[in-house]
Amino acid sequence: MENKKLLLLTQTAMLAACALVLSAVEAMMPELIPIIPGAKAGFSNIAVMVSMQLLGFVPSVCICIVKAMFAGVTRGVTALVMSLCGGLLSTVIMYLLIMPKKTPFGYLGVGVAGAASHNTAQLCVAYLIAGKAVFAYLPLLLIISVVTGSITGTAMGLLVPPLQKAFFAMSKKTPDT
Amino acid sequence: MTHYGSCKKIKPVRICDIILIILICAVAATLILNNITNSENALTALIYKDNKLVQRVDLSMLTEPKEIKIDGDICVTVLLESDGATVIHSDCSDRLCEKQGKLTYAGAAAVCLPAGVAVELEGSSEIDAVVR
Repeated sequence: MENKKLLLLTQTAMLAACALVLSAVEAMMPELIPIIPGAKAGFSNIAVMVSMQLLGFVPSVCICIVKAMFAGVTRGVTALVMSLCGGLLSTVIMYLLIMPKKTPFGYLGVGVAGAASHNTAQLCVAYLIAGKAVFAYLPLLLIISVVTGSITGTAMGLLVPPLQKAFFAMSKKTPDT
Repeated sequence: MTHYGSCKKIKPVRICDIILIILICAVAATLILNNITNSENALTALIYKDNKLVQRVDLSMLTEPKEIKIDGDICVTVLLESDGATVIHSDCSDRLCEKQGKLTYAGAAAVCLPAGVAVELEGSSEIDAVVR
């Protein structure tokens, strides 16, 4: 395998591991928002967002799949499907916001859009299981995703510049063959 | 394949971010207001199992609290009172629906995903609209 590809694989795996650690830590934290049981801050999205900015679309999707598999192993099939749908939709939405050369959005907007689309996709899965009553959670979930999305977006804004330098240095040191 | 070097700079906060946040908050506020204006004194509890309506109880007709047990792989017990509905027991492991507490306004819902059970309150539906 080419060295550069190997480097990309390693970096993706590293960020995926970060995502799993973040979601494990999050699961240990007390419930942040007692109004909606089960609502989570979505810190593992930080890893996905960083990989989107530094590695591109495909590695981010891979991280989402790894995250969903982790959720499936620890919390069951329902969690797997919800995590997968939420992760994929938010990855696509965030990619669409980041991709344009002169994107009108900043880190904050990307974080909020990612969190909101993640929650909405999960509610749609819940709708298929339990019926339209789940949409009663939508307004509060949207407000919560503005808050959590701002946090993850800010974290992304702080993490990307130093990591970008580090990743660039790694790629320079790696010989082509 | 990767683009660490040529990676475009994204600013922390741009005007569109603020617009997006305001938009999301506006949607949420509209939905909440919609629920509040719809809630009248007469509440109806709807209980769904696997996306199908299994029970429909007009809470204002209740003279004493009533317990309803929804059977299935995972049993869920719902307590209906004249002023609201509470999921008091679920056999599932996370018990998130129990933590939801008592539902008291139209549009409120408690959902047990492992059991596929949802409890929803609806405002009085005797008169849907008045045409003048």
